Amino acid sequence: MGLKKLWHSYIKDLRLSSKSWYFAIELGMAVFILLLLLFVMPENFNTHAKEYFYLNMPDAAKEQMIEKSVEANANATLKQDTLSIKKAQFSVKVVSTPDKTHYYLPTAEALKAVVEDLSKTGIEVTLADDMTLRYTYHLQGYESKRLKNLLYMLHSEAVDTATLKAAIDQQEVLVLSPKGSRLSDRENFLPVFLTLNGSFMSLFIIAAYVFLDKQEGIIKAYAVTASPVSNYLISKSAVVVTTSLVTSAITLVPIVLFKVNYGLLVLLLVPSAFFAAFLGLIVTSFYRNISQSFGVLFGLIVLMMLPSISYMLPSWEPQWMRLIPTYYLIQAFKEVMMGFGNEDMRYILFTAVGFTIGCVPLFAFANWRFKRTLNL
Amino acid sequence: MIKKIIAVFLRDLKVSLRDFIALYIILFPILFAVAINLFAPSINDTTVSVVLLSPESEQVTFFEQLATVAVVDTISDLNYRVLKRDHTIGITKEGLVAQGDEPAFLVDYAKLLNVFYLNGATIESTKAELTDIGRAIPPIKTMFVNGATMLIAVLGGMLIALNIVEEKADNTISAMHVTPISRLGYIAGKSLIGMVVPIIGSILMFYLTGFGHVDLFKMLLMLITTALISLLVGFVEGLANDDIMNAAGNMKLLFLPLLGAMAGAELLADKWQPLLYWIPFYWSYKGNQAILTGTGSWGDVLLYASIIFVISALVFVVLAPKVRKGLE
Repeated sequence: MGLKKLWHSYIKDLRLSSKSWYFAIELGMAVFILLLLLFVMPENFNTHAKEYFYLNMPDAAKEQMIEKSVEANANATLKQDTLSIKKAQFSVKVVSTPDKTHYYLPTAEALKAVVEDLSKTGIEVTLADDMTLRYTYHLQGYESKRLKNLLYMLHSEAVDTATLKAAIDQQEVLVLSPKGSRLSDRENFLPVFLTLNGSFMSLFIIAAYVFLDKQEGIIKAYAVTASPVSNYLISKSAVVVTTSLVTSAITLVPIVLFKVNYGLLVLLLVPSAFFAAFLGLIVTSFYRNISQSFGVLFGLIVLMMLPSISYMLPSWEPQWMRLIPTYYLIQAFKEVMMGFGNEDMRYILFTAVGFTIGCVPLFAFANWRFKRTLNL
Repeated sequence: MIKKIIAVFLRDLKVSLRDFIALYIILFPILFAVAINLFAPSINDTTVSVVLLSPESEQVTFFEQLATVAVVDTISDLNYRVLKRDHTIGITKEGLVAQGDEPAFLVDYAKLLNVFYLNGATIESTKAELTDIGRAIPPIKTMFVNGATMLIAVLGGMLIALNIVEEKADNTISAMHVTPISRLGYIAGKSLIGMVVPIIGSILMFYLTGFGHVDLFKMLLMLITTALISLLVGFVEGLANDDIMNAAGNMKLLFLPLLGAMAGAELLADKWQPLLYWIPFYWSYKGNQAILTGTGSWGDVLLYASIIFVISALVFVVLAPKVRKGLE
């Protein structure tokens, strides 16, 4: 009986919600993000590096050095070009390879403009008395000690820069999980999208739903109906979760097609979206309107977004980041994106169960708060 | 008229302070500033993480100069560390140990460091000199401060919208018929808080994050024009929506051009940048960046501010019928 009421309540809420402007925006936004990902965002970002050299030496030596740098790479091309920096224009020689472009600057003024106006590192190369090359790096000032150490060692007398690339390629790498594939930059973005759009914006949306009903006195009406307030809370949350599932599917399916296990995806999306919705319910129970609760909602969303920074910068992962639930969610979504057979099933299940368990006390508390505020 | 608008603003400020709403908007920039000051140095110092076997103490000392180093006792501990979720590369006498899902550049970086170690490279034997122009603030910090500035402006816009929708729900706008202030004046007064408070908050944040030295007049111009976008969005959203549900949906929509403009400006190649020209937040981001890095002239700032102003004016002209309808 109770479940039947809950089901009817959910279907009614879903029907009403699907006719609203809000639902149309959600769908439109999902389609827009999909189009952006498919047609604007490249599969992989351009990692082409640009380096700026000023060869402070006689012309003959200069020419010889540029020629050498072209000969060193079979795919290198040399061309004369103009580099515009603010209002100044400099005639430069450009050596391009598939991974990097070297700009050979004509004067010390050009080097100064690169460093000061383009905020790039300029490398001045001079010939020492013993005819060896000396390098002066014109940095900005914020470079870390470790980066500076790296530059020093790159030009250590013990390192032969001519054979450095070959030495790097000769390094053996033992791969422990050979089946582990790398995601493209486009796919790499999806876990963050799923976490923020699919799950944690639910926090804000459920709050808006509930405040609207508070305003119209619908929640108070539950005091005189046979249906418990918990039905109302679950049904509203379920509508938000359904919206999350639909919009996530719109964006995700055309990009990953049949590569991922959708069962696992739903297993993660449903409890995490309920978790966020219940958290939103708790916040709303303490405030009269959305403006008052805005700071807390906004603060929670920003907090939940923090692990996406460490996700995007893989080498920056402070321990405290693991205290934020979205850390695990982003990582679990990433595992799902790895595709059939490559995912870490244990981690995904652990995360799904963790969020499911987390939902229980959150819902119990939200339900208690709403029952209490109904009686006021 | 202006006196009346200011009176509405002051009354609203009083109410907002009572409800802690204005305090939130002031508090957020301070919290952002604290977070940026805490995170930026460690992000700037981020390099590859390696795990080494402990008996090789000389190796540990060497790698600590260049990387984040973890030390373990046995090869199985090293493998276990490498298999953890972060991207840590193991280095042994035999070579490198990777999990397999690391970005290629991280593996290459670790290989480079190992070549240095194997060849006996030292800082002392270098042929390089380093000099700098004394810019102490890393780009990541500038980017965070810029992003936070825009987020705060949008926060103001969202607040304006919510304020107006709630006023509409309480029927205060209709009640304005019988007061000496016009409905438009009332709404303008209600909107001022969402514009003034974020500007104060942003300036506070600049001082707290070490950007107190930037040209404040240029920055003020960019802040006002960015706040103008928020004001416009908040104003239109507030008047066009009858309930907070729709307003909330529209606001979610607002984050898309904001985050898109920031990500696009940083990540997209030059040939793709024109795709973002229609987004006022793009110009706002570029203007802020030019001021924060000290590379923007008055000409640049005026150009960016004018573009934002023109786009905002065009949007307002298109949406004017909706605004008029919302006021009825």
